[in-house]
Amino acid sequence: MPGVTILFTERALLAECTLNFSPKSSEVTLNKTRVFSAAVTVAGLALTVTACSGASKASTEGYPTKSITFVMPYAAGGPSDTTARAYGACLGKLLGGTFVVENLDSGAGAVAMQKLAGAKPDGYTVGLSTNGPMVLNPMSNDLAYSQDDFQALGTMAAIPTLFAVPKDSSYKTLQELFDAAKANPGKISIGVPGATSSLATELKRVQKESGIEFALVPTSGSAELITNLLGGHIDAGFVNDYVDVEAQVKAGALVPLAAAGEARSEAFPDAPTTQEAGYDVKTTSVYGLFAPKGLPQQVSDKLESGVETCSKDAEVIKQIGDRFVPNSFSNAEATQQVFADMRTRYEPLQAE
Amino acid sequence: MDILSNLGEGFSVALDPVNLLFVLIGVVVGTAIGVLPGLGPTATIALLLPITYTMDPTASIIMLAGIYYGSMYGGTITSVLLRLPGEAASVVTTFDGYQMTKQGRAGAALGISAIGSFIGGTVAVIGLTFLAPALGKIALSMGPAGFVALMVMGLFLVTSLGTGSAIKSVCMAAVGLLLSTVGQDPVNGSARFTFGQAPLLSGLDFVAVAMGLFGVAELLRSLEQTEKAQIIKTKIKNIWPTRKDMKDSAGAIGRGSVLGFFIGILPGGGGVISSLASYALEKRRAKDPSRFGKGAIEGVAGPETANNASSTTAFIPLLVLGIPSNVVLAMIFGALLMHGITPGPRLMTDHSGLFWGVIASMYIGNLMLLILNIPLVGIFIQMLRVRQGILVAFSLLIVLIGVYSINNTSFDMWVVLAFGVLGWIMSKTGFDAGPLVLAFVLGPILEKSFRQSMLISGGSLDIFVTDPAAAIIFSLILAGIAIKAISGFRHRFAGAKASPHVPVAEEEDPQATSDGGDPAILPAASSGPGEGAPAAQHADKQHSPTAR
Repeated sequence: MPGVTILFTERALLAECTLNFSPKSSEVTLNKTRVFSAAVTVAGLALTVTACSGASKASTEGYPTKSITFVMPYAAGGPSDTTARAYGACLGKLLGGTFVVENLDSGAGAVAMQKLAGAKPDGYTVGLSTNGPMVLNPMSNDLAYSQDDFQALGTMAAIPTLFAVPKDSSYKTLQELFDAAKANPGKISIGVPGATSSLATELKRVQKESGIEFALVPTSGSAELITNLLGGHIDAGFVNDYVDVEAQVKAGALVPLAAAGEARSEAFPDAPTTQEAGYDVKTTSVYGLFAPKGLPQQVSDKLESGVETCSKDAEVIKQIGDRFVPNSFSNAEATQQVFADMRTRYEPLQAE
Repeated sequence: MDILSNLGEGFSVALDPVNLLFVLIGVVVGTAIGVLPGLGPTATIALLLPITYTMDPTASIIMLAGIYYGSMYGGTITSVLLRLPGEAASVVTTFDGYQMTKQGRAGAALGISAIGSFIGGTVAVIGLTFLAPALGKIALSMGPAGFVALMVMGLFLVTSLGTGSAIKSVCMAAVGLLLSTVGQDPVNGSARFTFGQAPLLSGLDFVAVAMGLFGVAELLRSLEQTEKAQIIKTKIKNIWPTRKDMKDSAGAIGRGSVLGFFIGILPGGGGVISSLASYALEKRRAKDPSRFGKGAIEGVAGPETANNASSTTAFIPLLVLGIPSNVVLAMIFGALLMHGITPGPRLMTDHSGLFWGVIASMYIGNLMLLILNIPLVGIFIQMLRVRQGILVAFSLLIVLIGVYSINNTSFDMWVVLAFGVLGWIMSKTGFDAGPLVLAFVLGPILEKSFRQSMLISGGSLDIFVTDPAAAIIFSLILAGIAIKAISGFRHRFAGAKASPHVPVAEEEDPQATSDGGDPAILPAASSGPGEGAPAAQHADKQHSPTAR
């Protein structure tokens, strides 16, 4: 918790300065007061800035010997945060160190990824990442990191995706929805959670390859998308198959049309997969554990087996949700491959 | 009565000694973090979230909710005493609250805020108790088109706030809108005005901008003044609101409660709009609107009441529909999930103990806040006795730490300092920071909603007429313009008869200039909603006191 440490250091500094100065305070002239305030301010600022960038040095022997920073490209509260915290606690217990989760959600996750890319590859800075910050963001924006700066350590969780419509929608199947879009190009609105999300990118790819034209409506996240769907402001939604959607479906407010993954959704086994419905639309939000490239073998082995053990831990599964923790562990190599494939899949889209 | 028995069940949960303790912890922590500028409920709840995983779900939600509405009051304290708004909704409070402090009426401002917040909060909880299910639907009726209308209304209100000239206010609102375009494009995700700085991809942070323009700028300004002048200025005359203060504020508190209650339901931006609307309403109703911005107690009481009422009703979409309407509520959503409870339409029936327990705890929490804050007002205003040099340096440090804590990046600390200097220059040149900051808040929602609307409608503007919510709000705006135009013409006619000679000094005044353009602007405004309207309305409003 860097914030707290800094707070105390600065309070101490301020107190010290105040003490040194207070005996003369009765005759303090205006000028001195100004100089004093300015000095304290500048000193405090310098301290605050430098204190935030402490470098880490530790040997790989007996890793970990100190606390580990767990960088998170998303804000607290969402499924990715739950995943990071559940695994952080489990890994800490398992390896005998503390994993401090640091939410760096500014810059659409780019700040977190930059920090991770720039950290020493010693295992004391790891991070969660997923399609957006890892693959799509560096593709579409000029950023100081790329996918090549990281090495995967394993998959922690995976959130499937699905197509959903409001309960009174006239589209009862995925085919009806796609046919309507084919008949009225650009008239059928489909909400996607974020302009650079993998869901938006996947639909853009589908549009390009199939020639079907939707009105893609990016929202600022799932909550806004669900609101628009419930209120009937959009025709359909392409959304993460997470508990928030599940609750709406169970309450009868939303209807799932198709699961856009390898298999049917565990929550809605009656809805077909997109493949079964006859369309090639597929994306899953994979939450991988990553480290800066060049980790010593023994450290990466330790972390990889740690993720595997934790993915079978009852407490972790309970916190993240049974159906979001893969039953068969996807190891470092497999996870690396998943993200590499994603890049190959979407790179042609960005070239335009 | 079904609801009463449910509420009874809720109180039996909330009055459980452990839960009672967590209400208290929540409101105390909330007030405390509200007082530390920048360290808002978002950062605090993020920090406390892991702790709640091991707690009882009801107790944890009761505590987190307490932190949230407690911080709404806490934020008032720094807005009033130091002109440091910690969140968007308290920006409006700085206008008159800080002026009251300068006049030695800080106690009255804080006292009336505590009372208003209590009333607003309580009214909202009562409304929440009886109307929650019905009101949940209102939140859904607001689609992208509705939000466009709401944001246009917000901008319309924003430009009527300034104390200076109308043209300057409009200019500042425009600058605010421009600043809000920094960051990733909401529709195609490309970077705009980021100059290769990764933190700018998500735009400038509101807290950094607001605290820079208001707080840091004020701190810089106070350093110019002599020590002597400062002491006289901060001398505390009367700690409590007088009878007259109470009488003056009663109407504002009543109207603020209602406004805050209804506007607070709308997801995203509800809080800001409610305090803005309350301020604009009070200013319009006042016999002498020129007092506003110079320490009018209604200008503190109304928005503060609305702000607290809306922070309570913001729970409606979460509890009734399972939709978190802001970041803090999203984290509360996360906390519920960790306990295996999914907020959604069935929360009320599946977990009625939790649902009603949280609501009942809000009654108790609001009462606790009142009891807690009234005596604390006396203590907080002692802060003003601290020598200016020390207070300034210390505030600045707290601001920097607070800003750092939002995104854990030092980048935001430079942002707050840069905006501090900008704010200082603006205050030297007579530009108000208020319209800029508020337009900056509304801008991204306006842009995103407008582009979503255009995507949905295929580029046709008809959506703003066919969408019921948008149609209603736009017709309210038009009605507002029409009323203003008619009364403005009448007033000018009467005014022209009474004083045919406009003083020379006033002619050179920008206000007088904008007044000259008035008739030309008005017809244009009524033909196209939103465009010329703010300028016209503001010019009119500014003019009435001057003409007298």
